[in-house]
Amino acid sequence: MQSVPDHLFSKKQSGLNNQKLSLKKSRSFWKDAFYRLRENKLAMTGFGIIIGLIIMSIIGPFIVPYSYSEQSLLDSNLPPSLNHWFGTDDLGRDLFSRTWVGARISLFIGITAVVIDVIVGVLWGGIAAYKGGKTDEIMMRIVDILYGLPHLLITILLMVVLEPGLLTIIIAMAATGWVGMARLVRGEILRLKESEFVLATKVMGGGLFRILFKQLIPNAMGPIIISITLSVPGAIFAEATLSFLGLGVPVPLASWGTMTSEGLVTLLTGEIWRLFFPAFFISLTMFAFNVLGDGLRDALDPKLKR
Amino acid sequence: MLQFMFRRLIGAVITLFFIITLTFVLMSAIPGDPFTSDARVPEQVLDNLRDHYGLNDPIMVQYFKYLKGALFLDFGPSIKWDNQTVNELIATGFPVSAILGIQALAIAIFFGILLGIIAAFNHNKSFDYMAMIIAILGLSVPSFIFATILINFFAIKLQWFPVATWGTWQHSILPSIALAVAPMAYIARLTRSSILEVLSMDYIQTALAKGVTGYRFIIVHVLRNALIPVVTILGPITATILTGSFVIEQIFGIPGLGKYFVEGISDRDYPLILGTSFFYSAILVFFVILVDIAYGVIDPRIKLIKGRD
Repeated sequence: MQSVPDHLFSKKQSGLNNQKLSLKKSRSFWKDAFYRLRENKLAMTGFGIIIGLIIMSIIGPFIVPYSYSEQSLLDSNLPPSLNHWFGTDDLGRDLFSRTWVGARISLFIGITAVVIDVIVGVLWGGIAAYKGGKTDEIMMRIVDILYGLPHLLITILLMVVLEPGLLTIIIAMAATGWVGMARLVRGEILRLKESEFVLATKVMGGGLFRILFKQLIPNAMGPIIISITLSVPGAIFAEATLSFLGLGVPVPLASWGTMTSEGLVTLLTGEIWRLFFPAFFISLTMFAFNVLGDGLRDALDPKLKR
Repeated sequence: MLQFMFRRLIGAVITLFFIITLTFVLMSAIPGDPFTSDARVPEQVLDNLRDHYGLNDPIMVQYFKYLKGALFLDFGPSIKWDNQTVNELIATGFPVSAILGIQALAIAIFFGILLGIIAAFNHNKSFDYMAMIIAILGLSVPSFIFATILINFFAIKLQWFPVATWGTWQHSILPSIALAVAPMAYIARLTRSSILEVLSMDYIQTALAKGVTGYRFIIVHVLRNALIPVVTILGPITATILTGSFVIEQIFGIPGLGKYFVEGISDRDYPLILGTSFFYSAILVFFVILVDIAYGVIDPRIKLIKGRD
């Protein structure tokens, strides 16, 4: 019998290797989405602005030698200058420092409120959809009722009842905010729960929480992330509105909403910079989150690509 | 259809009952009462006042009194506004807010759809980008900031419109615009993406192949289908305009329902808060049902009997 030459084996093997390599090169869904996002200039601008705002909210107040609450009546209502970059307010407080303390509070409230929304909404919507039947019916009835209410009205009522403070605002906003997330998650999970991989886990004896957290929620992550990004500006806006109505963070703390509210009088008196800076940064933040959210939606949902 | 409306009506009643109970529970949890600030008044007088407004009654008695009030739409006398009932205050405030809200809704729908159409039919051209930049700015600038910009330019610098308060139609222009901007931006974006989706459908190709052109093509073939998603968001948009009026009425000093609500809150005027909260929720719930019915009428594919989404 003729022996088979060695080079035939090696050739076959190298062919297999090539195939493996090409498999490795195929990009995962998330990587693909990330590439698409990076191509989107507007979304990346938004992302850059958000990073910049977060950095400034951390270091901003330390750049200038004035604290956000230090009053100096001799220096009241100074226009922007080399000493006070954003000017001062009627109590002589440095607006540069106050703006970044305000950024801290606005961003913190916005992001925390949305994180709570997500946790509650994912659990509620996930369990309702997964359990189905009567449980689903009752849980979603509650959501329907809450969904039909004017949210800001409830938030304002809650703010009046609870002690004023940072935590209160977050609780008051999260109390109504999770409803939308619960609906979204329920819809996604209803779609996913009939999949074969869920059935497989069930057959193998995987429990509710395993299926929910290891399979259903990771697969529903795309819409959830989009919704998070688009909810943050909503939360920041709600906080600003509350502060504007005098139901926000207590003095001497500053949020962009309270600063805008305090600056409103300057429309008539002329120290317009007191209004301009907080108003500008609220709008910039909301703009950044909106365009990033849009970009994420385009990146994570290629079907919608136009 | 009837069965659907019946189900929705029951749902509406449950929602309203929920908001009544919730506002009541919240009200009774508020620290202090409407008379806390009147420090100089003797204790006996305070007690008589509380008696007069039923604040000394057991909590359940107060609750049922309020439920009865909501049922017969009678919320009793206001505490801070002497000699006026909550009904009278709502009756004076509501027409003002309604004018403001309807104008804002009209502006938002008209210009939103127009902007969306312009953007979609100039897809990826400069008009599209311009319209979408306007839309994203409209979503990003909060209404109260937009209101201050409007006041600064059109009322103070150019003096085209009065700065604040209420009276002639000129007074209502700036607040209506400020209230309309965010919903307008939202409608514009939705209209645009919806038209783009419809344009890729087979029946549009058929219509084009048959030689349908011009306004007939845009209105009958495209808009009729593209505007269905826009109708569905009119409910949430009404909510935005309703609650948006709290701030806008405050800025412009407009004596509408929102102002009474916000002042009721700071004055701890329980009957006024309960009355306005109920009224707001009732309007919203009513509007959402209206939108649902309109949805079924516009889109024959929707079977209303099925009810829930």
